[in-house]
Amino acid sequence: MYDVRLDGVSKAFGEVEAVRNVSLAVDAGNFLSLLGPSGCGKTTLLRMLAGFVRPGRGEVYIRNQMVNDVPPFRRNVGMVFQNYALFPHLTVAENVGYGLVARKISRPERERRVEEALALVHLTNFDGRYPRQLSGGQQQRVALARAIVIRPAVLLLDEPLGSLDRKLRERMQVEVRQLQRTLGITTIFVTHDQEEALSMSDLVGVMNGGRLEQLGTPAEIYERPATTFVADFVGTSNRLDGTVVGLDGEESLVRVAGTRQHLRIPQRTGDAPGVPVSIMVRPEYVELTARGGPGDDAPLFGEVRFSAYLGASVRYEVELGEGASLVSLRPRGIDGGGYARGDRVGVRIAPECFYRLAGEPRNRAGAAAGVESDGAIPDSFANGPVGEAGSDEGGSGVGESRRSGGLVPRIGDEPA
Amino acid sequence: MRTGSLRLGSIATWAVLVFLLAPLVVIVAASVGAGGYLTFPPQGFSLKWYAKAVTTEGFVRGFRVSFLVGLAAAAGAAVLGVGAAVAITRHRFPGKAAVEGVLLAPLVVPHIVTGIALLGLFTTLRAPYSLWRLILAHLIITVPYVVRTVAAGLHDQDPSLEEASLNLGRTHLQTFLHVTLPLILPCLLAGSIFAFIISFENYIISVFLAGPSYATLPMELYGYMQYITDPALAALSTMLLAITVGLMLALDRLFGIDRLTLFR
Repeated sequence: MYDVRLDGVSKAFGEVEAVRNVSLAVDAGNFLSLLGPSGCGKTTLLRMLAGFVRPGRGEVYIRNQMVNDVPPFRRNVGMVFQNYALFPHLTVAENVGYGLVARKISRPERERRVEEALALVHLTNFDGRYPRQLSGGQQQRVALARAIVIRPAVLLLDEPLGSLDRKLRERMQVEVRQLQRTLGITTIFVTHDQEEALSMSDLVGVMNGGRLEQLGTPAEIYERPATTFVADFVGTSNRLDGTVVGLDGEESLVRVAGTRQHLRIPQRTGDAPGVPVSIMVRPEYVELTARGGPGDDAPLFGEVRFSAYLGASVRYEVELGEGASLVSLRPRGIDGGGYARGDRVGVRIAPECFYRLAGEPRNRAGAAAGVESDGAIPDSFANGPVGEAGSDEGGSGVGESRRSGGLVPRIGDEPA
Repeated sequence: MRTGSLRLGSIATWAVLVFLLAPLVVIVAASVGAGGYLTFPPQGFSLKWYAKAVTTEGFVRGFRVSFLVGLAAAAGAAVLGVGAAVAITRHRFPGKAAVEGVLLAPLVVPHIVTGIALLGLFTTLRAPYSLWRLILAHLIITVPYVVRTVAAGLHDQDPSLEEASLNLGRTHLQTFLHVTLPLILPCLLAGSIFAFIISFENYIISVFLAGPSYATLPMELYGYMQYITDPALAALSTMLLAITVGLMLALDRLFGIDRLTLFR
């Protein structure tokens, strides 16, 4: 059962089309992140669900009720605002109880629920304080308690962690997620932080220019981005352009533009010599080997142009040829002490780690619409404009830049 | 060089202060003189002119009129001003700029023009002399002060507070009463106090509209001065000064007086 469903929703503010034909559905109890750069329409979408923005076209459903004409105060939707929006003239308890008073809930019941909600966010005994006497993190928790105490059909979070420092932010990510799971509350979380979106969500919707570019599990978004935008926005990605020069069994041989080097990618219908291709690969899949060493049968080679020590890993930029370079993220120490600028290295990438992008310019009229999910999702992508370039379906993506034996990927949580 | 110009600057500042405050010092000093005329420095010390000021029938009557009109104007301005300020800051409607202009116009239209215009209007309407004429006139010149202070308060108030209230189940009216109003209360009080002061000290408009039976305190004061110039005038002025300064201090505590300036 869907708790939230958007059906072909659009909204323009004057000339600016903030939201363009977005359709999506969120299952009861799921956590959806709307991810995108500022101005991509994610906040407008959230405000539509809260009832502050009326869609120009399309329909908004909350628990199977069409709510386009329902004013915000009758929607039973909990919202945590970006700046928390705590009432400065009310105490913590009064803030949290505000929605219960509005619902005319009796005083003893109200007090019990306020206490319960404050306990859930670890703020017992703060009830008599005023918002200005609290730290940013504490205010955040009060806002959260105030939103959940009314037992909303949907919880909306508008970049609530944006103003917290990194440590606190990470702790709150975990806490918000745990709270959401405990309560089983359908949640929509707006953020521009891709790590946050990937680590917290059951589903991620990536938005750009008012469109929903892709809706999928964090692993799908990361490993099989539907569009160039998603590939670029989520994580770091390498892009190589090239031309098919030959077919070999299940694979196609591609010459990388700007070089005389060739690489193998999974074959796709329509591949023939002369067909141009754009391929993408995540930096953690790009293995480097020392030239002349034991792994020197690497199909590609290049020169290290830049290396950056990141603590747990090292980031290399390897130039393969004119205009063709790859970023490689290697766990520190695994490749035998690392490479220096100017080193010649072999480059090895497993064919299934490549992801094929549709050619530019893209024509994706139908892509934003109709991406619905029933929690498990994968099928909706089979018909997408971009087929996935054959990472083997169920299991192995690569991730976390830790290598053991082969390429053993696992990104983010498995969908609940 | 730098210290020189600094010193020059502070001398100038003090000079201006002395220039502004000297007349007030003279009046306050003259009010406690024992002699029968306004003199400076005062001769002797006596509070008898204060006694005379508060027992002079015209002053008492004038004070009553001014106080009533001031209260009524301030209260009316508070209601109208809040409504107008909410409309201006929270809503978009056709002709909004015109409404803003009209609301703030009394600040720039000379009072003498307003006075003549209202006299013409009331005469055309054959409206009889009454306190209401005065209250209405004072309302016109005091509303802008409330609009300005309250609009400033609303402007600074985070609009997501109102959204949070709506989101939690309060209607627009309930949201106004439980969130918006409590938060702008200091601004509203400040604007109302300002409105009261503006009304209380107004002379020009009152002179056109009050008629003989509803003379305000400034009118009585002026009338008295035509015939007698004894220290009772200074005593009354000192008391008015004390009231105004007291209210201004209250204003400053509530609102910060610098925010009341017309052009920010």
